[in-house]
Amino acid sequence: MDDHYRKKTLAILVGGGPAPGINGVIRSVTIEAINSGLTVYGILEGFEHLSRGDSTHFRELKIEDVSRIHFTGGSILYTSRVNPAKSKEMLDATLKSLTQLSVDYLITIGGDDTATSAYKIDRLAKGQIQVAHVPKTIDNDLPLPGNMPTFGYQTARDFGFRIVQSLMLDAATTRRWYYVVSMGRKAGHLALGIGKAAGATLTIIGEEFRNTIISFETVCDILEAR
Amino acid sequence: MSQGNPYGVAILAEGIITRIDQNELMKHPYVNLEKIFTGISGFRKLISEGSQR
Repeated sequence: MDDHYRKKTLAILVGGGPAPGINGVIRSVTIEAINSGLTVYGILEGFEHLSRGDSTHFRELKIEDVSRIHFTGGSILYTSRVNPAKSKEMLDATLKSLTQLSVDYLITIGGDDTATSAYKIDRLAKGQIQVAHVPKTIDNDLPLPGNMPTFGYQTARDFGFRIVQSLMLDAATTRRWYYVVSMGRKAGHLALGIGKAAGATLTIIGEEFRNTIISFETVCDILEAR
Repeated sequence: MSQGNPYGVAILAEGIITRIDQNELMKHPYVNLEKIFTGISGFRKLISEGSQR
């Protein structure tokens, strides 16, 4: 068939660790793409198979397949930590696999490694495949338009809030201190969000410290002063 | 442990843990470095023991 008249195909895949909200992204992308006249392929287990030149691990997604998946956690497409950006052979194999599937658009959901892979595939494809990446970070450490939180942040904050809320009662009952470590290596949004919602006695975030290295004594002093 | 409130909940962002001065920690032989980076229980142990200095 003349490529001009071929129905265009969008592929979507998930890389990295699990996070809340992945299925919501898969659902939104699929519905919007189908309503825009595209065929949607869900690539199973991230780059695991594509990077080995295997283009058989996918399923076509229909609206009825995804319309209610946002109610469940996890990823209906599973995930993988395989990073094709690590070698030229894997990148070439990935592009070849996507080409075999006649993919015109690729959407990746994942963290830094997946974003790097998406970028390198985009460069390698030279316009043959349009690539977009959806950042997966419950740390909310990206400035999105309109102050939108990154997907999964609100769910993680709410979950953390409920844990800390219970700990607050336990602390009062047992008259003990509880120390909670929240995710957020580079940004303290999640810790602060949980702390504010639960009314935690104290929340300490990295942004409060000017120096790269934080003194253990200082942290202990802050905790003991409360 | 704390001088003010007799009880409470303190939340620490992971960024605090990963940036703590490792050389300083070496001076505290009772701190289990391996445990610090393997979960909440490790850090709770670290803080509770560290504050007894």
